[in-house]
Amino acid sequence: MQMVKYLRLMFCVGVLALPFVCTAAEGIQVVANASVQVKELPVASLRAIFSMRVRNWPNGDPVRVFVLPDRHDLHTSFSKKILRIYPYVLRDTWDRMVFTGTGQAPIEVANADELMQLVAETPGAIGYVNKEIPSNETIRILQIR
Amino acid sequence: MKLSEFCKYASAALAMKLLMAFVIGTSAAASDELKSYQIHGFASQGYILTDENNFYGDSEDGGSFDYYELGLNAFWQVADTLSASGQLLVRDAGETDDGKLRVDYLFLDKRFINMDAATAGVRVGRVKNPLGFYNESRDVIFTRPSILLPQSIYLEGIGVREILFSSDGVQLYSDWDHGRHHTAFKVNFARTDDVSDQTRRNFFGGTGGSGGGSFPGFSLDQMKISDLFFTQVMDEVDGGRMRFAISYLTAILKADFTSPQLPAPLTVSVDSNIYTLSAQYNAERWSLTSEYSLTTTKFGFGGSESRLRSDGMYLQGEYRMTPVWTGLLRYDMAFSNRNDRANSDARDITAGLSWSPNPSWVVMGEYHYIHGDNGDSSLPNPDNPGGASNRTNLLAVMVGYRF
Repeated sequence: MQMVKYLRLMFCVGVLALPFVCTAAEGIQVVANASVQVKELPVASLRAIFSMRVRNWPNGDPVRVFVLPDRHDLHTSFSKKILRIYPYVLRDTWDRMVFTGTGQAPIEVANADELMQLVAETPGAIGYVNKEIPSNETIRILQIR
Repeated sequence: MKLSEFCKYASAALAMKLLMAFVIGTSAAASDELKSYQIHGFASQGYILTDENNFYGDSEDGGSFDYYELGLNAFWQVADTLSASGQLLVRDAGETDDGKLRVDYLFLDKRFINMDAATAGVRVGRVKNPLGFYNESRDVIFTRPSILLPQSIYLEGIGVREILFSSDGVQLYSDWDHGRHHTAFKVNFARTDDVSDQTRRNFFGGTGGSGGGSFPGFSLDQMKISDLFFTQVMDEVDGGRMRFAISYLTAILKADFTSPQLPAPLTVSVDSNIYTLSAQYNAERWSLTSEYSLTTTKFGFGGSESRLRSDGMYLQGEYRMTPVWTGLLRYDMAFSNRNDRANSDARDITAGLSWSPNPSWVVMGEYHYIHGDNGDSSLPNPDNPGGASNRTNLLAVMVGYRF
């Protein structure tokens, strides 16, 4: 009996803690330029954006996608945990577009600070960061559903 | 406006744009105007060593470097729903390709539906033809799994690559998201066209007007490709975890031969339909790919007619040991006569290794054991004018760079 109670307690604590653990472990947020009017996005739309299939935001502004190099830890985590697409599959999708003239590759930047700065400066920009930051006058944190 | 005129205007516009970009320089690259275009390119050099038969040049004797690919492309987002793109290509592959500069694709793309969950539009100009997973970008080492593609689906031997790759015409396309799926549909209509001297040589050995190659005493008067039509539906599940595709193409190739002994030109026609099924599973470390293709061909020779059904398939596994190293194993088999598989098979066992120290560079190496009763059909005819044997050991190495 004691054991069952203990297990039940463990389970409850586990379930309650799960959301916090996930947020803390990933700590990845999708960030857009403040000009982007969207506040939240379904995962499917985020996938479409990072697969370079979406050219315009709902208000018509061009979408500018910023990413880190394929083998950068943050890019790998973002691809796998948020988009749930392996980085090599994403690269394959971009390459097919680039070498068949049907689309563009995202803009690749060297490090996370530079990415953050470009997203803040570029209207219509979208990218990702690995820290908890609030929206401010230059950037907007997008909630992913 | 005629298509050739359109191409001229489009290329002039694209060239102007590129020139402008270079003149203005990279310092202004942050402006919105300049971000609306991208330029990319690739270069790869191959080395092939074989025993018994030649593959892309004189590969039997110390190996051949007569195999390279160079490409430069530009994409310009003219307006929200209008883009222009083009790619110049130079490719040399033994006797089957000549290293001449050609326009791989050059088209205008107009989108009628431009939403985040669905698009539809039309591409006009020289468009890429969809066939299986790899056809549209098969000259780019970075978008194919191995140096040489499986011959059951991606024919090289009979020299029809020009017909398969891109066509002057129109492509209608659409793609849409629904639940876990992303589905893309394409259909290409190509105009009737004379085939190039290279394809004539690959097919019949001789050039137009002079000797008929495999038909001695005849001369090849004209050779046209008509009724060329491609279509493909591709479904991706869970962002590309699984991919499935059905492709179909049909084409009629007609050649007129003349001879002093004949009162009228003799017409040889090849009417082909190709159906291709493709499936792929992509896990984190490994990918499994398989494609099957069925070809039905109707040959017309003067007044007589004959039919042939051929098919083939391959099974391919890739394993990403580290982000830098990838291994590949593949079994490929093609049957030139489906009703007599035992005597018409061509098989290729491939083992490959790829090393990519960074995403811009790749070095690939692979070994092929090509055999079967019809093993010579996998080899490029023009490289073996004296005929080929059924068994070939082939080693290929290729270095590729892209930006």
